Amino acid sequence: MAKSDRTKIEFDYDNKHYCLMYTANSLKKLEQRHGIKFAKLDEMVFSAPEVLFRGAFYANHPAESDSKIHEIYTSLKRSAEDSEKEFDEDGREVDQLTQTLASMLSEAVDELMGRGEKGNVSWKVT
Amino acid sequence: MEGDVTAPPLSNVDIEEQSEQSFSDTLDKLCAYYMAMGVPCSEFWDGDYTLLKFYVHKHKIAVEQKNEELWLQGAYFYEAMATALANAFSKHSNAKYPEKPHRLTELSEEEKKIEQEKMVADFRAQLIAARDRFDAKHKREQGGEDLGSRKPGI
Repeated sequence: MAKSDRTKIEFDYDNKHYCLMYTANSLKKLEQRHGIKFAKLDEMVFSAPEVLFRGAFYANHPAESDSKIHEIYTSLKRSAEDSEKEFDEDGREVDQLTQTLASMLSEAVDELMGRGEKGNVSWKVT
Repeated sequence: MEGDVTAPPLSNVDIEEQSEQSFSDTLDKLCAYYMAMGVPCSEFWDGDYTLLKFYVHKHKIAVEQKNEELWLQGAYFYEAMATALANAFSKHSNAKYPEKPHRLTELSEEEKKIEQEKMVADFRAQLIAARDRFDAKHKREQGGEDLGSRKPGI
């Protein structure tokens, strides 16, 4: 079996291990339940980062409550904000958590669309 | 016929210009596409998307194999037709359909050795046969000469 090289976010919170990732199913749920527009993903990353974070729980922790996810998000966001800031091409400030979520989504879409190796992406994430 | 038969149907679609269909519709179409390549439905929706490229690669190999198989079938068919036509229209034809299939894989060292020995033995047999034919002819000619030389005496 080939080793997976997909991007994940792994951490421990309240003595529980979390492994956040996206699947085709989570992307579908993000669109159908939360109205995420994948055509405007670069905008969504800034306007609804918490929703994208919620979407990453569907794969391995679908039963996690929204309040708990919000709590985790706030905690992670706070520590991410303390880390070094980066800026996207338009000069917008991007924390590491948002950046990782964006690259995870970008990777998932590219791989599913069969263009992961070609890098022929017509939309950008930061 | 040209084109990549293994390319995902939506790989060239610009996701920004995909206003007519939702990304969920795109995923549904992609699911069918990957299922045709042997990806289980659950693997597509809930599995590791980084493994999909291996299924695509496997499918490409399978398409190439099928293509080669069909080409070989055509080659055998051509050979069979050529043999049949040669035998039907030529009295002196020695065309023969091969007794065994064409070898597709490389010979092993042992097989190469056996093949070489067989070639040497065949060549030797041909030489012996040629020598025997020559001797027989020579004898006949000598016999003829003898007869000829004896003729005046008869």
